[in-house]
Amino acid sequence: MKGRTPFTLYGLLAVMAALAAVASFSGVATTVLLVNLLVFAALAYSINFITGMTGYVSFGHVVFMAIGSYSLAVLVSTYSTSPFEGIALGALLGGLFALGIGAVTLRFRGVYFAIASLVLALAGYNLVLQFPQFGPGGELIFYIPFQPLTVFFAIWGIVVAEIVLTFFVNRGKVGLGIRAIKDEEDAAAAAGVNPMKLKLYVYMLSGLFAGAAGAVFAWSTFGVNASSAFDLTFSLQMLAMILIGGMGTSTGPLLGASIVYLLYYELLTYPRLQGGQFLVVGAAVIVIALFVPDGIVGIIRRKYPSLKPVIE
Amino acid sequence: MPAVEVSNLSKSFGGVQALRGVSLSLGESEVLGLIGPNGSGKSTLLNVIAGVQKPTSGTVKLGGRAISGMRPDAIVKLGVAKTYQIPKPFASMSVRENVAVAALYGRRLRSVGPALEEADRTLAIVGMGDRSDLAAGSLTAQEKKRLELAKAIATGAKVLLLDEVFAGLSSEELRDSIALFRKMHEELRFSALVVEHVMRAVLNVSEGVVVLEEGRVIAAGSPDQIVHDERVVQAYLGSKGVGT
Repeated sequence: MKGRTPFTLYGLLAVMAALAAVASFSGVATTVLLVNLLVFAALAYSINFITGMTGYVSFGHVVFMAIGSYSLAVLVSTYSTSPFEGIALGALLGGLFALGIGAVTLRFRGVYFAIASLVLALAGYNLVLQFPQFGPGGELIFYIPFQPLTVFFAIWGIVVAEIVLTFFVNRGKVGLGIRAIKDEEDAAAAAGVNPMKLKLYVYMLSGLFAGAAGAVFAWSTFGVNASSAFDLTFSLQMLAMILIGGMGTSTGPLLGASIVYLLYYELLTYPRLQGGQFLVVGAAVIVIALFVPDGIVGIIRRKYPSLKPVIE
Repeated sequence: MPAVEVSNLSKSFGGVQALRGVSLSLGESEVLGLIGPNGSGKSTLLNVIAGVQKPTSGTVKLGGRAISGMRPDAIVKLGVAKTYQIPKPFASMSVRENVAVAALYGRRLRSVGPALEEADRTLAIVGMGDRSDLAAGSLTAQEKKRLELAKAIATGAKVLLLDEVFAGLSSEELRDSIALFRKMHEELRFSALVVEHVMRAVLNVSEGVVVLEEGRVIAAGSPDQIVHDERVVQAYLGSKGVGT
């Protein structure tokens, strides 16, 4: 582990650099597409911190995304701040809520944690509707200049930070402890690992980045509304992305996010296929869960063992 | 001062009294066998000392410091490590990484590199150096038991709580394991509380034996005294006799 060349990191950063070049030198339509793609990637890396690394399924992960979306929407629409302050607040609140929620729900194992997180998402939706600060029917719209490239670099920076963090967390002390927790939580404690501390740490990272991504999502759509901010489809898509790409890995979320995003929003968009995307992605998830639990990254590692150090 | 001092320890699960006022003391570098029929409270006693379960009453002291009620990971860091009766390896990780987790967190090391080096040293001691790159999930039952031992040692613990590490071995494997245990004890000078059904192992590795029955200590003494103790023969060994 120590002293290994971080090929994976170089490779991923090269891909990100290429995306930045494409966004900078092509038309608005491509830039907008890449913004949407990277919002998905940011969400995938976010849920990867908790679900990919520890195996705790964050079913209601969309709640942290919504926290970010409302942070930005309220700041920009009500207080006329810059969207960047909205992203900062979204990240801060996302992280803090994750700490608070996780302190309770991370004590539940397996399906109980998943259900608790789902209940929170449903509660969040109803809570937002109660407060006029979040707009009528939980809808806030703001009018600011259309700057696709600025939005692009905001979400690009978030994804780069997530890639670097994922990589180093996985390689370091925390990563080894987290893997032990994922395999056998009690035995990890018997080896001196404090499971609660490590789970809270990655859950906090997870909430923080989902908040930041949710804020950018609101920015890119010039507003937020409750039914789409708390749409559980997002939660499912996030889970599908890391399952398909490779749970817990550094490469998997970007890979899975690209596949799921392109399938949903670019390839399978003919009117006749309305809803068909769900079937395609659902089938892919089932096949992968059954046959290759570590997703595409797992397939590549098994078929080409020599690529192991290149793809983490 | 004894390494571990257990005073008047009780533990009940609902209406079931698993431990009823158990007291014992484990000296520095002493190996104490803990025997008793099924359900006599042996595993519960280890679990309470290790912090996996909280005592209903009574105290556990480590080098004079009360540790009862602390979290298991905190107790490991103070130098008490327990093995599982049914091994629980980190199945997706290599043998080396399994042991490295214990070294990294048990010894509060800063980074993975030194933990892997410590893991290599430990695996050499338990004679598993040639197994280090295998997936822990693919080990045989005996190797998994030995991996449990390696993890406990790698934490740097001065006190080991060993739950049936000698169970389920063939006669030959048992002989090897006993020899290995003695060698390790000479080298590392740990104290150990050894729960064991295999009498041959208990009598061969322990300096003293404590007998539990229905959550109470019914006898304590040297292995020789214990096998000739009337109550022990009746309560525990019964008609099976010594030497199973």
